[in-house]
Amino acid sequence: MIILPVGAGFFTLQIISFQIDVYQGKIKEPLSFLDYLVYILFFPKVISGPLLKADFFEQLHKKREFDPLKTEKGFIMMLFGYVQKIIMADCIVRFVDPIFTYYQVLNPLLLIAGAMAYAFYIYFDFSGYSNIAIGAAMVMGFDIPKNFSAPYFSGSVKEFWRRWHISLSTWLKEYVYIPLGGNRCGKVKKYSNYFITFVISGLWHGFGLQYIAWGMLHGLYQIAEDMFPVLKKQDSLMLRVLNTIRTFIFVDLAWIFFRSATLTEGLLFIKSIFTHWNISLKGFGIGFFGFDTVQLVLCMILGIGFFIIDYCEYKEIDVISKIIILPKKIVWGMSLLLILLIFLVMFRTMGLSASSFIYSQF
Amino acid sequence: MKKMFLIQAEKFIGLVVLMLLVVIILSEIPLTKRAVARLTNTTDYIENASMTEMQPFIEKVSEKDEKTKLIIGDSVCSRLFLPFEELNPDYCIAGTNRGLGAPGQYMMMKLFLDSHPNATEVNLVLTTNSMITGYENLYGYQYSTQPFLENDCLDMLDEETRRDMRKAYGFFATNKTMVRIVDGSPILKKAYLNLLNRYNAIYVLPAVPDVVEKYIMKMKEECDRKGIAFHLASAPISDTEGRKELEETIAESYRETDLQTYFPNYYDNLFYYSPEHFPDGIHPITDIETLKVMVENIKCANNCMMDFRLSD
Repeated sequence: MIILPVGAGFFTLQIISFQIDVYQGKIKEPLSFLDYLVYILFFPKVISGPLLKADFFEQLHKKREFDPLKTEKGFIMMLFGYVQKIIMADCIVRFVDPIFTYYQVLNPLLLIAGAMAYAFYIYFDFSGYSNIAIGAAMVMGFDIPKNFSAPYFSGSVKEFWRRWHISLSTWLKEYVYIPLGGNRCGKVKKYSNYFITFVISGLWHGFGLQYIAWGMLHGLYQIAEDMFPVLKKQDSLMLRVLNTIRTFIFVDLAWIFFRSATLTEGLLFIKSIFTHWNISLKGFGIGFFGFDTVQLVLCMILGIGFFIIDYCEYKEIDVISKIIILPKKIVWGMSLLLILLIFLVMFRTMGLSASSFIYSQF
Repeated sequence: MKKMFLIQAEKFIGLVVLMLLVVIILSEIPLTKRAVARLTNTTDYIENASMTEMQPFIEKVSEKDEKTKLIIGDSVCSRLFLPFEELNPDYCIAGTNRGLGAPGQYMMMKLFLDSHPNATEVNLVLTTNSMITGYENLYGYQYSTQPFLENDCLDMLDEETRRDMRKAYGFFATNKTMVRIVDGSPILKKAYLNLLNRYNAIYVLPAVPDVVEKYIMKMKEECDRKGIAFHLASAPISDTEGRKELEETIAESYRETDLQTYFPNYYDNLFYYSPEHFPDGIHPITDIETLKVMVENIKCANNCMMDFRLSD
């Protein structure tokens, strides 16, 4: 077992990109060692990003004026982030964990539900962290890049990577894919560049073969989409919806490897989906998974809310900017309600082991 | 602009605090307590189990009656001796819980001696688990401070012990008003006990803590001073795998204390029984014949409770 400091993967990437940016002359202004340390260890993002770019130094040196709207927006983003983590992610994970632990004795419907739930768990967990980080930075007057933009509304895996962990995919594109030659040297080279980039992405997430499998699958998806453009077509609403569902299934299939402890476990999980139809669903109700009914209902209601917010995000409507210009009573009422719900869930789940942010391990 | 924002922010924070206060107050009021508890999943914290369990025993040892002998100890002691209570009118049997710790047992003894001037014998029957329990998170606060605080007994302990209790169970653990407030609200109680467990975790090590040595010695000194016989006896334990090795480790620590000088047979008289007699691994089964054997062994080995009857 290799023990690494928290966020090691993130600050390693920051250090690499800093070196390259200095070498390529993207960072022109004189920097002190303190500037460098702030860039690497800026506390809101140090554990799980978003990864900063060289333009952060401009913000660092610029005199920042107090902006009440920006501060308020920052707080609302943080609040949304806490709701995503404490209410949504921590509720979903209670369903996901037993399924990935006991998959060998469970009905395939539960396995499929568990795999789908994991997709939402990882989204709420990581997007929650990112919102807290972006919000905290915003309160201090910094703009750090957004990390998520309605990823599960993507009509293709390529689009998914423009919407999921945006700062990492941008980093990989700028510092791996393009230096490898990008799409400029013929199709074979382009496909191998896709593949290498995603395998590196997998390796960055962990040393296990399951992460490499996850990266390889995403590389193969991109190649397939490039070879068969019909997979990306979004000419009609029907096609758009079908491709969105197809993308979700593809991404979720890869998540199974990402969640599994080993590559073999991931493969066995998938095999179980196809071979366990003789196992009954009886006895696997809410009680079996230790679901908290109140939290489950809350999770469902708020899930609808987040679906709407993501849809607006997909339509390029900045929901939080719209919220903060609403009458104060509405903004305050909504914020108080969310804070009350967070406390309610915290009290309900107190004593249970809370899960840490999943990306803090990378 | 900044000032305006700060004023607004202060108002908002005030509202958040007010909202939480309202929830806490609602959880304190009997009419709304249960509803709030259900909503916050804290119904288990409404009933004060430690008070319900301890108060009758505190009253029992404090009651002025003709009893002259006391048996105190942990829950194993209780399981062993309580079934024979009716046969032994001279004995006050008040085995309670490991959570009391040695200071708790000391206070129980003091209460008995204060209300029974003719007392002749005190028997402290402890499992080795209790022998290594000083301050601990799981039951300590609930058993060793709260019930005694409610009965104004904590003054029986020295200031050093009370300070250590505050250190272990929070700064207000010895303050009656604060304890009542926390105890009155299931959400405050759940939060408090969980925070205590999380941020002030105390680990029970296989060694006799100073506080145990100190209070057993105090019990002996108090009895010696009043001419009362004091016995320390070990309760039976299950002969499970690895248990003897663990006991040997604890015994080594025990031998380094003053207890070894005054109670050299505590470990020599440790009786192991087949695990089948201990369904949960700790407490003996209620089969009366088995209990008779266990009690008889304690009596003979420690030369105590000689007139304690096990049958008509």
